[in-house]
Amino acid sequence: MQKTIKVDKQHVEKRIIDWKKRVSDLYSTIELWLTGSDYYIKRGSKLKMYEELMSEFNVRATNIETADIYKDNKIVLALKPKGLWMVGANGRIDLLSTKGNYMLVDFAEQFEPPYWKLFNGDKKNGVEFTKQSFFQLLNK
Amino acid sequence: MNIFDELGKIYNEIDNKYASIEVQARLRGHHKKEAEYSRKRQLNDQAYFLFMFTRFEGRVRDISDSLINSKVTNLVDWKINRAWDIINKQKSNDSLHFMNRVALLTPKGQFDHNLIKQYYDQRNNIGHGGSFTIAISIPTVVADMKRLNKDLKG
Repeated sequence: MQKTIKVDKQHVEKRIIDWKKRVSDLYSTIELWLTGSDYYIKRGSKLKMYEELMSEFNVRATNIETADIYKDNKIVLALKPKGLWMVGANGRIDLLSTKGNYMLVDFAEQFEPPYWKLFNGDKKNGVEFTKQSFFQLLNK
Repeated sequence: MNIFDELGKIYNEIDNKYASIEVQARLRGHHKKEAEYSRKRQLNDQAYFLFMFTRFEGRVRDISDSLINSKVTNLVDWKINRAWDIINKQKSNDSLHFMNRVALLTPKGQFDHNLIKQYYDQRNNIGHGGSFTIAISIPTVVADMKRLNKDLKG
């Protein structure tokens, strides 16, 4: 059964905090995965986050971290959070590289542990985002 | 290949082109250009979402029209027919709201109805030129539109 959630300013603020934590945790997980490899992750510039619900409930604009994956001191993959509020999902992060672009979408319910799926350049069938699927992407 | 897959394919071609420019700009530290192409990709997301949802709206219209026509033609009992007569009049003068058409095809308040309502609200936000960029996952849209297209019946 679907829960009825009261959307108010407090709820919107909680979701933003949760989103930032999920993004940050994702970067930390990737950092662990990359340990001992030829790659490393560096948190990059911040993107402005100001989505429609934030305006509707008078929540101020904020910033969210991007991150870049490096190899031989060159960026090989950029991770850019695209947005939190979306139909059928709980946030999207774009993964951009010179070899193609990908998308991470969180399909978990609100405030639940994330379930990230990785969509490749064709953006058709998503696969679970794991260390294996991530390295397959990196090593393409 | 169905229309949603076709539109998805064209969307991907454009998105991949823009993404390639966006990431090149990022690598070179050209942040203005990076932001410009990020914005182009967002607008592309919205445009293709609108394309797809418009197709879906057409399908809902067609199925609900057939359903209404069949009820009005085949029902004899006035007590049952009266509601369909009113719906038919709304259909004829084009005042039957899209979500009411949806409610004829899938139970109100349940998963599919709520999902369509969320997409409908998003389509209206974009269509009315809202100043916000709504994050869209086109793979999710394609999968949902294909499934709903198949599942909704009169």
